[in-house]
Amino acid sequence: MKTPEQVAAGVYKNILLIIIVLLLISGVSSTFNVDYRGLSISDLTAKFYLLGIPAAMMAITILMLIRGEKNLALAGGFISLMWIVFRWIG
Amino acid sequence: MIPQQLLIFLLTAVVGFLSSLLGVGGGVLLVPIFTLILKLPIHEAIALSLSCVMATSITSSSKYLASGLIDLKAVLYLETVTVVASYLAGKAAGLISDQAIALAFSTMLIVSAVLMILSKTEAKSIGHFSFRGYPPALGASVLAGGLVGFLGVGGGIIKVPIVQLLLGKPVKEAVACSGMMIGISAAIGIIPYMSRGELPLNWIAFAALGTILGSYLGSKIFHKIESSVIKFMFAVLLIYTAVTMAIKTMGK
Repeated sequence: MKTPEQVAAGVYKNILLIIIVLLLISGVSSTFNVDYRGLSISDLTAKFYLLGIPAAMMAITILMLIRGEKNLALAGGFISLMWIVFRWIG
Repeated sequence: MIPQQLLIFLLTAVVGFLSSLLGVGGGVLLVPIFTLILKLPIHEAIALSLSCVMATSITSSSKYLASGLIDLKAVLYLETVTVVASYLAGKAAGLISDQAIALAFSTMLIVSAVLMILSKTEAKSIGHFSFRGYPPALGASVLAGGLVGFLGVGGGIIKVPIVQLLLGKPVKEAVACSGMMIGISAAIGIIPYMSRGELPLNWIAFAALGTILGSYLGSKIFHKIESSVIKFMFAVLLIYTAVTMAIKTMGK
């Protein structure tokens, strides 16, 4: 059975692949000023990139909850909740 | 325009490499690079630096988690207080003198550096969860979060000594844990800048891709470097940051 750290490593590896793709799209579209109906693709993908760590925290929380690691799920859930609350407050 | 983007990519790669080895975000190096080369206002430079910190953290953590160097409990437990303190301190930053905080911060960095150099014995990993050391570590994390929120830099600089000295982790584990923690703090710390529209989105791709490349290479050679070398490099970085901050504060 995988340890919580190995589970989190899997989450972080997937997030890393996703953000690399997003950043490459952002970089290319920024260089060539690509937009879709006035919406900058570079800005949009950069904003999605910034969701990487909060998304990882949420995924880790759910996975720990499923595994019955209540303390880790609680801590991860608290951090995720704080991100949502602070993002909402601004 | 293209050469400047390439230059930023290369410079952030170098910073990412060093950050990955030292468990710091690299804000102390990135902010001056962004203000001097990109001519960004300081707030935008800090915001862009925080976005790079996130990239460094994800890259190095994916490697260190798989290697078993990160204690997930330590990271998540300490971050619960750090993120709240960081955000609240950032919001309240205008109420307290920057100079007073920066001088106290510089003093604390020097004390941490001296303690790190003097600690001759290498701590052994506890191996299982223990509450020993957590109460003071949580208290120090509140302080760390508060200082990060007020000053905009210093996440890893404070967190490595907290994990090493208070939780009794070996320096490599402390660096790895700090590397994951700084990313979580940065994800929260960047929120006020985003809300104020101070994040230069068009530079994120080049800066973050550079740090990803650098921190990936750094995490690759991390195991080949002696702990004593990392400890010495970190102590030097602490003293450099402390002296720089003290000089800047006295200059105001």
